[in-house]
Amino acid sequence: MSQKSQKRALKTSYEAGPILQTYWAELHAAKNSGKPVAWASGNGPVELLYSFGILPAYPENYAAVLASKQMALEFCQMAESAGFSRDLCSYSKINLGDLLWKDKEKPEMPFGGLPLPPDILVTTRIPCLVQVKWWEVLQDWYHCPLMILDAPLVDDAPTEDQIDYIVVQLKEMIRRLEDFTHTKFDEQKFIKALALSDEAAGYWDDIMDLRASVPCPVGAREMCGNVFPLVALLGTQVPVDFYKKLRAELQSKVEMKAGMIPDEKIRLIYDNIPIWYDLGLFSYVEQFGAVFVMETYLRYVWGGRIDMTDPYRGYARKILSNVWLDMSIDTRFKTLVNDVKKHKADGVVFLSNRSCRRYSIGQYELRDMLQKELGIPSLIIEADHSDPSGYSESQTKLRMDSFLELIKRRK
Amino acid sequence: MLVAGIDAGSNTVKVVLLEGNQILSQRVAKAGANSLTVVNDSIAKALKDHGKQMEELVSIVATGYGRDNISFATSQATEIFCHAAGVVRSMPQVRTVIDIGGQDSKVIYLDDSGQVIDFAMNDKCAAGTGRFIEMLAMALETPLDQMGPLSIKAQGEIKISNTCTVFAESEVISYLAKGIPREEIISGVHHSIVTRILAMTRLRKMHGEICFTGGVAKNIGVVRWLEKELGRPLSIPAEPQLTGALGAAMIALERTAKSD
Repeated sequence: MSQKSQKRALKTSYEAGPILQTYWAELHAAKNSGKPVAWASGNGPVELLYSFGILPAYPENYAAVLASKQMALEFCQMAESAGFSRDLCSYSKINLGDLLWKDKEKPEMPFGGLPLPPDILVTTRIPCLVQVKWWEVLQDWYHCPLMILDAPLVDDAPTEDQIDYIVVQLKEMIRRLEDFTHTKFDEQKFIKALALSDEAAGYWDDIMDLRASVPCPVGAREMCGNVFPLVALLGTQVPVDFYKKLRAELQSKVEMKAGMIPDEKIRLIYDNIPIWYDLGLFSYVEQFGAVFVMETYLRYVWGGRIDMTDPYRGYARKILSNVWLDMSIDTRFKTLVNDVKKHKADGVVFLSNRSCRRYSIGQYELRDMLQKELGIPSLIIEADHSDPSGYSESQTKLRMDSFLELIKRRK
Repeated sequence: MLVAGIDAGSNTVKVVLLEGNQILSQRVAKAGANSLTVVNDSIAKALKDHGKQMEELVSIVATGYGRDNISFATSQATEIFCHAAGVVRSMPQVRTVIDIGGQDSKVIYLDDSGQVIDFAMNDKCAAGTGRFIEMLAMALETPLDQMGPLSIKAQGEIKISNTCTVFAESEVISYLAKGIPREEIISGVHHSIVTRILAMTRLRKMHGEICFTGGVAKNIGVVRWLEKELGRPLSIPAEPQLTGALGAAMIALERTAKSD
């Protein structure tokens, strides 16, 4: 599988790497100097942690890093040999396999590995229940405080009661973090973190919108490398500066009508978590004049605007809104139809993700609905997002080739 | 004008030479461990049999898993479009093509002019492919070409419920241990593959005349089950296994005409 780094379409994209390096260096420096480090899951209240001066590490994100470096398989096997099910989320298998590693030499871990042990564990049920169970296992191993942000399933817009439910939990988390850090909560710091988070998310939304331009200025592979600051650093200045610059560069690309590829013929939408160990699949299509212009993972999993006129409720509303994993099939369909139209897409590629069924549920129905409503063809490929065992690159490409040929002939 | 279509499949290599619109030669060979050598030999033999030279080939289109590795091919096409083109040549009235090959099975939907409008393919496991039958033929110690004729003698009441080839093999062995007649088990194997194919057509119903291609179309047991489940007869080309290569040759012809 080709993971060779590609020439980037945007100069700013080259800054994502150093941001990642700095983030990891600061994380290890904090740990080494005795400051508390949290292990947090994506979509959690990270802004709150930053306002308490607690740096978060992300086991999920680190699992994706290992997968993208073709290192995932051994960790998955290590977790499986310890009794964890093969069907479990591969992010969790990679992390648990890393922690359970024994009896053979461990490969050199990128960025020096996750800072061990975690001092506090923070998770949420928003993306899935596996997160909670996984963090409970971690608590069992490390005996440190565990904070869980529970969330109801929300379809469309959250109700006022649902927002209340999140606000109550946030306030309880604040109280627990005061106890944990022995410091008083600084509300101004928190409000500032929320404002920074909102500003970065605003730029991100603009960036996603700019990609709807014809030709599309930047593809999926490069944007997968650019999402990290949004995942890990929301609530700090870093993503604000990075995405502001990225947006400006994209705007000028769009004005110049400079496309990701020289002769754009086919515009595609991708649904599900990227196949981290074969990101080359995103660029593979470019030789056929195709480009991925939008991904549900990049648009509806990370970021989200905050109504700063009522910060607590605004934050709660953001946490509960526009999360693809939390949407019903109907809402997913309406959203996808809008995006197909907005991005002038010719087809949708769905990854039926072996170990993320919550993301994958309803894809056959979505495919059927898109065909009926818009006459848009879809392709469903089968793979896991991070566990490469059972992945067939040639079979996947064969399906992709046929799909692109079908679209080309239809046009 | 001499053109060639090569279908370098996972199990077999198929070659068709067309002179004008006439089939000059068609060959099937086991792919084995070194399928590139088999491709080279097949094309060399096909040319030699008719006193032709490699240089006389105006266009060579490759399809199948090995399509990108054939250095002398002038272009590539996907199996979906090759199978469609191969069927349309001899049976223009067909609107749905079911192809079951060694590693993949597919249902291809055609419009009234014979153009591909959609397709469905098996997920990546071997269930619902020729490989499934091949593996279970080994477990049943039955030559592959005997699987079809034997199974049509059966009552057809045995069900193989495991779609995983490895688990299905244990299921077959347990039936053998129970003393279930071999032909009944084989019939169950064929029925299992047919249910997998039908599951693929859940989203889009098959329409019009249905043609069955690929090596598995030579298995009368699978044909009978498909016809029974579909409630109508299937059209089967004289050489179902060569449909992809024939279609590749047709595309070669078409591309030559376009570039002229």
